[in-house]
Amino acid sequence: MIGWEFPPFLAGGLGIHCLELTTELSRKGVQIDFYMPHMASIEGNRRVADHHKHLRIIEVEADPEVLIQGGPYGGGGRQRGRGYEANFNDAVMQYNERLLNAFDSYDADVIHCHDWITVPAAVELKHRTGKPLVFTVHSTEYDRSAGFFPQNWIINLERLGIHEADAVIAVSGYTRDQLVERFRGDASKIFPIHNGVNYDKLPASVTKDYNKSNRTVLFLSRVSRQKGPIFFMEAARKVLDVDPSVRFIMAGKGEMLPEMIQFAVRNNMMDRMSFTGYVTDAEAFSLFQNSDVYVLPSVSEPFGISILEAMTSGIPTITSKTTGVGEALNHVLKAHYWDTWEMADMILRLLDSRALREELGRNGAREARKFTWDRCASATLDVYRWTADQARRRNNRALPASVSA
Amino acid sequence: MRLRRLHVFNAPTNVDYWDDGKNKAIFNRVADKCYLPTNKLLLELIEKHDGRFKVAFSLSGTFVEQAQKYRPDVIESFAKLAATGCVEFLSETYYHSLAGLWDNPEEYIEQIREHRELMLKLFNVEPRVFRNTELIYDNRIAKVVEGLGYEAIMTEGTEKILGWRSPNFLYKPSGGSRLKVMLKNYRLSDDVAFRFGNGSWNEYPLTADKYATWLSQAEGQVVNLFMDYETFGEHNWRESGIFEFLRHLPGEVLKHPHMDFATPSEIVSRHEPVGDIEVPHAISWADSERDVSAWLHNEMQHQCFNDLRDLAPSVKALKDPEITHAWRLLQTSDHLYYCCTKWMSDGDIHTYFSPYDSPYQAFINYSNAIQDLKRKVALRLEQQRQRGAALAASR
Repeated sequence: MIGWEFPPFLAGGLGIHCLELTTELSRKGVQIDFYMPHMASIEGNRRVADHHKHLRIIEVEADPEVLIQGGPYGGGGRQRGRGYEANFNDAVMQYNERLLNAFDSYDADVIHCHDWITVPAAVELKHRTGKPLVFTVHSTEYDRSAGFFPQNWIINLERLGIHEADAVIAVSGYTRDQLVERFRGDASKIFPIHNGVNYDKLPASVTKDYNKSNRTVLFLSRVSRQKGPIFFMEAARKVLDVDPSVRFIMAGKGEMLPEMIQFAVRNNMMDRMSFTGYVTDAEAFSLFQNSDVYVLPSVSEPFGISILEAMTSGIPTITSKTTGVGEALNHVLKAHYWDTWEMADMILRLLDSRALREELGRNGAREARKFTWDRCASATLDVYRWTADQARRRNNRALPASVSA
Repeated sequence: MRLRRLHVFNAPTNVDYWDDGKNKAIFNRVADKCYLPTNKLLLELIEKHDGRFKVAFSLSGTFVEQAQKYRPDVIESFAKLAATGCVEFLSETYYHSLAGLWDNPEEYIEQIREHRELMLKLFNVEPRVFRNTELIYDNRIAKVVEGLGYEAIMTEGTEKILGWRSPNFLYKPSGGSRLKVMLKNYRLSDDVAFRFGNGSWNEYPLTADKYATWLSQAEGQVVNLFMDYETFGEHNWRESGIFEFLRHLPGEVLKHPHMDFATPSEIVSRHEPVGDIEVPHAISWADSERDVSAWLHNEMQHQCFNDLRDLAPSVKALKDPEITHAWRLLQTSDHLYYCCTKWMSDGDIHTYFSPYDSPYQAFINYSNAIQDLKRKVALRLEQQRQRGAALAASR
């Protein structure tokens, strides 16, 4: 498996996915060699591998160690290479180059790579080793940019991966459709597999008190264009026009936060808004408990683990129709991310009706628990098997007739 | 009757919550696929079998209103059926509502009276047999219906009230009532209404002679086959063979000498009840539970139901026909049916009927209508009060 991040380093969605997936896969007996870049460690020289026993982690150095000749005064020894370039894109390219030399998993049945970051190395390795390639798309450049100046060279890498891979895993049917339509992917080898949620860290049951209403509406997410914060603000403004007693909270940080604050100021909303900045898990949970509605109007969300995490607390949720997770959820309210009238209407109804909040919240909490990593891993294992099988068949067919004689 | 898409924002200026465009389109479609062709077929069958084939209908007031508005030819075809003397019309609430479940029966009685007037005006008939919305029935409803002078009432033949007994007999409500209760034989009724078009049913395809044989094997006084009229042509399309089935059914049944067709009134005159039924908790013909959970299962439904019911005193005080009509139309049971969240874990039979994406959307739209009505009622009451005060002051 070729990845980029892994807890405890840079534990974003991708890292968590890899951790949970590999944990469940190894439980099913799969042996995994996991390649990732070696990042400058905060804890001195402790390696990521030290934290995990269920798989073999190979941290790929940016530069190899250099053997320094001893001089006339002795000395010499080994000098650690430079770290990865500070520039992200350069670092990615460096990593992929280094990976080709560092690769030594020649007994693997399948190569599994994640997102565009690993595509160059993965494709090259597939050609060199002849091993089948599985490519998981967690998000596309279209998703991340929300349609705003997507970077073409990244899209080209994504397209390369989609076409070169023997099997593609998309984190949702919604993403699969994108791959088929935007990248002309071959639908017969694209498999939608939903992510899971680790429920251990989340409350086991709903303890929300629906009778206690603060008339508060919550946005909790990265404040980036992809998550649709501007639509949240627009809907808020419409709600306040009808009912000035409602409060809105925007929790999180991101590059669009200044713009959101400006919007609030310009629209005289500051006395009804709270911008909390970054919140810890405990603070997030407290916000879920004490808010009446959770709104995430994502422009394009390939899956949406954060939606599920919110729902398990029992908070009634409004999300956009362009989310991966929404395709499998009945107990959320869905509106187009741009339809702020509809969202405002839903918010007002939810605030007015305890019955609706409780019904939606409780049923939603129950439904959100059906996304398990075990399910994800089982489906992934099926794709591995299918891929290996297809490869075997191709190899058998490729043998000239005379060989069998 | 479909509600328009209502928002808190663009509140309608009057109480016109209905999506006329949609209602017209739907009514036209069902008229052409079901009402007209089936009525025509029934007329032919009645003539062919010299009056031995009999049918009963229960038409709600809202159905009639829409027919009068969009397709008067449908009314005419029912009138033709009425004229044959082989077709009986039953009583129900004008608005196909759940008012029967309210503690105070006043509104319920008024809606039944309104329906009676309609049947008299339209077909010159005075129904003797009553059928409540979705066959909802309990002890109290039976009492009210008996008090209105009906001879019989129909409901669902569920084991919950029968125990080991057969639905093929007449019963009466316990406690010395004179009312006769006709129970739907749900197995045989649902064979036609639900299973007819299901290719994976082990009795598929259902032919008229096979079905007639089953009917002949049933023991008792009567086999009551109650179903939605849309079974013929709308739920089961023409291609399923449902019209062929219906065409041959009377003939096949009449081949068995011990069987014949009868209208509800005829049944009631011929037979006496063989036992009592005791129904403290309402039953119905809906879902597998056959109770009222399809409409009153979750809090959202309860809230809407209670809100409408609690508006009664204000609406009565206002005496505004437009408001009263809108209030009653909102009582149609369908609106609550769409807010049901029961099915979501199991299957989706409710979604077939629902025009909404989700029961939550249904609740939001329905709630918007109800809240708007509440506001307008309050507003007009206030206006009335002011006018009254001004009048009193000027004297």
